Amino acid sequence: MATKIKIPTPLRRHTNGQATVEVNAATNVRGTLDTLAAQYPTIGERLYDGQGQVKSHINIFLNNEDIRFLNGLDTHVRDGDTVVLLPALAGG
Amino acid sequence: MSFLRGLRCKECGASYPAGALFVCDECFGPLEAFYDEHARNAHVTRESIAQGPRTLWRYHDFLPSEYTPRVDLNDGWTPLLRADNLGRALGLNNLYLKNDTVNPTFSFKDRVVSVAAAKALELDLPALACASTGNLAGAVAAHAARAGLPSYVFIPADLEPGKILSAAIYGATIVAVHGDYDQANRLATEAAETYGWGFVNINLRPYYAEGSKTLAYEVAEQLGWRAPDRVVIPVASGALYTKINRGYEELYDAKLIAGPLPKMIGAQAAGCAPVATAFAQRTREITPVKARSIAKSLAIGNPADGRYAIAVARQSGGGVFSVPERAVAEGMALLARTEGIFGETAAGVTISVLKKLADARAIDPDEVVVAYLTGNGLKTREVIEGVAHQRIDTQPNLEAFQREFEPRVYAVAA
Repeated sequence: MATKIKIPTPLRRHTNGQATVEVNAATNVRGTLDTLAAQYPTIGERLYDGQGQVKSHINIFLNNEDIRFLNGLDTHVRDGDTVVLLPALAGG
Repeated sequence: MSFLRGLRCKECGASYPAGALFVCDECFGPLEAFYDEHARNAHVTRESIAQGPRTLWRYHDFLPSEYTPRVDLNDGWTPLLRADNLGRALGLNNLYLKNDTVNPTFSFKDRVVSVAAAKALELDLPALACASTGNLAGAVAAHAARAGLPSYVFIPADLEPGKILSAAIYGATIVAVHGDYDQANRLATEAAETYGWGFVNINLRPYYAEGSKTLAYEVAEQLGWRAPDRVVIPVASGALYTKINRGYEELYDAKLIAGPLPKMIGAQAAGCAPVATAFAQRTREITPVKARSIAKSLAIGNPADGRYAIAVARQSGGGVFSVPERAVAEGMALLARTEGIFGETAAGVTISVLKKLADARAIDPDEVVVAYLTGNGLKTREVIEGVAHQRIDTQPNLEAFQREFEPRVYAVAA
């Protein structure tokens, strides 16, 4: 049972260059990212600020939805889901 | 020559060489262009600018790209019009309109794309691309055509047909994303990582955003080298708003204008007003919204520069405000009927926010106020179809016309 995490280019040097990382399924997004951070320790400090919140210029999607429209880091993750990390950018 | 020195992270300050980069490797923060400001400020004068072309490239010393005629469609240097009729209607004695509806593809996006496309050629990128609510798509497609590059534009599939056509005519490949702008943007961000194209508002964003500063330079020069007291600017991602502010700051630092710098007013429509909401709630943290606004060019629910916009609003003594959705078309009609300018929905939002502040007497009547009109109404005709207008149907002879026309005139006179 696994969850796929898509890693954006600027963070891939923390995942040995891998664009997609599979981690054992956790119950929610926070658990999934914690598992990622346990596997690749330097990525954690890129994702979270000092208070344990996701940095404001990082967007996290579960499948196709921004987790801020779901239940944030507590959003439930099901087997086979994909978590996508992307820099916050917009304008057009 | 460009005084660009590289890219720097807005969050942690790490610096990088000037490539197709947009995110900091250290902290994932956004990158922005930085310059040798000391050398630039010693070099640039009002006279050196006046000798430049009558396009935005007259300010090339402040821009991150080298001028090239291959992408220049005579972008920028649009009219600044005194607006006495609209001013009278609003109780403002010194109101001006910066009319960017007359750019080559009819919106301010020609400014940012001109700068980004020049950089794409410098970096030898094989194609231009963007995620767009419409105006940007047209600007990218046109400049790519002139530069001889293919273009790919990612747009929400339900965009106004006029905006889709005005990109398609230049030969762009239209990627119609079945989702909203934020989803189109997300797909484009992933595509930017997959293909080597120059996405003007993604991997060329640090250069692209700089083009918006020219809206400050031009207004200051057109006012006789002074800053307005107050400016009103539509807010979508917040990039335009923060960069116009930066433009005035740079002119001040270069001693081309004196202070004080303008109070910065941002304008949003209620259907998508995450920045105005955060400003009203006195927080810097933007809560993203699902965009539901007829002002589609402003319908960015997850504005990347929102927190920087809040900081500018506070520091400048301005603010970011919203108006109800019905005020969008009302503002467009008010602008068109008082000043003869057909602006798009964003202009309607801008004029309505200006009216809201003027009606609340939040603006001194003698202030020099500039409203930025960033796009042309012909691209968003759908939203004004319900606007009331005068119409007389008549048979093709004078008697018939008089029969229809005169009772109305006398009815009005009585």
